[in-house]
Amino acid sequence: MRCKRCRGAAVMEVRRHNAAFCRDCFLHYVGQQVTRAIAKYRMLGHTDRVLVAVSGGKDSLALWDLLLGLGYQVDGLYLSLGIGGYSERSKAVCQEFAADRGATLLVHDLAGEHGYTIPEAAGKGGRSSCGVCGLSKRYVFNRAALDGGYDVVCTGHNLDDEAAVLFGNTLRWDTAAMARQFPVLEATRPGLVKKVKPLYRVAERETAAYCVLKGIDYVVEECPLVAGNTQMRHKETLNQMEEAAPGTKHNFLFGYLDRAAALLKVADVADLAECARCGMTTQAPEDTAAEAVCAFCRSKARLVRSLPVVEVNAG
Amino acid sequence: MAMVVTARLRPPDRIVEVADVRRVADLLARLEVLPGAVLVIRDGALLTSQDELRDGDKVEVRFAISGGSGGLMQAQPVAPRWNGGA
Repeated sequence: MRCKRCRGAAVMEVRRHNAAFCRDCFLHYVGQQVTRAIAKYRMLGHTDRVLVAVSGGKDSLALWDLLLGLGYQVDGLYLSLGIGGYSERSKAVCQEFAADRGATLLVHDLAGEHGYTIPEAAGKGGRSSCGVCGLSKRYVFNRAALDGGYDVVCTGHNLDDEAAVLFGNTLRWDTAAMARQFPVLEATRPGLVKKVKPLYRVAERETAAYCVLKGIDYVVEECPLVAGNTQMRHKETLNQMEEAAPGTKHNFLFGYLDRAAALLKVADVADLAECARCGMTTQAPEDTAAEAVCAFCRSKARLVRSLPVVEVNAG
Repeated sequence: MAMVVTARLRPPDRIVEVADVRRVADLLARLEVLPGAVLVIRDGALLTSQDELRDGDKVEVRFAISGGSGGLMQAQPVAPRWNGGA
């Protein structure tokens, strides 16, 4: 098999583009996809202070590496979720990545800062482990970026992630969620930081290949709490379709972004308000007399109430 | 004597031996793994579906899909050893 670009020996096939690439041309291809994403949606500027949320997995570390290589001022943010040895190994991988490149890594700790871990929170307060994890990450990333004076938060959501989320939202016709699913979420009011997804054009098999080819040591093991989650089932379904018709995921996601997303923007009409407890931006309650409390603060209050009381002997 | 390739599949980590597979595509078909969901790595180098395998090769079949096994592996666990038969 030959590289489509230079005719050298290929190491990586990209079937949706009917292409294969050698190492150097594949790395060029991934960089080009990220550059196109950034340019198309004006995600980042070279004077921006950028914070990339890293988990120790292939996507976020590949993204951090790419953004550093493209010359952006980008620091990492790792949030420890308290998932035992998995979290410890993930943190160590992020710290090693940062140390190797002389990059800055901010480390936050959910238990230390908010009083709960994801395993403790799983199933409590009506949210699955993935649900409470996502809620916690969104809150902490936004807050850390505000506190640190960052202009933009980058996440490692890739083409497969975005296609699977869109698939799930479409199955439910959740038009409000679909309207918010975009490669860029602008900071529309104080208290919100701009969020961008520079990997939305790159498949996750490609981010894994990027890491292997660049020698990036990422956490290969899965989060022990993720088994059987809904998004994973959607990914499996899409992968079966992709196998039969390469380009299915690409066409599904890009067709949505190019032709349907703008039509759904009108569905995203939520009024925003300031959370009465933490001051962050949240959806305004329908009852205008009611106090606005963000989903994170409501969830955290339920969780902390449900956790066992630990008696501490003074003296 | 049949040629045998040892495949380390992860995550989760398990090792299987597969007989009589000439190319990477044959190995993945035998393992019932979607090629679009994995990377195949030999001695630190990526292999394409058309790369040839040799007797005694040790390869890693790494699932590249976050949060799961990428398809059929969960529904149909891999038997510890194949001898090439049905």
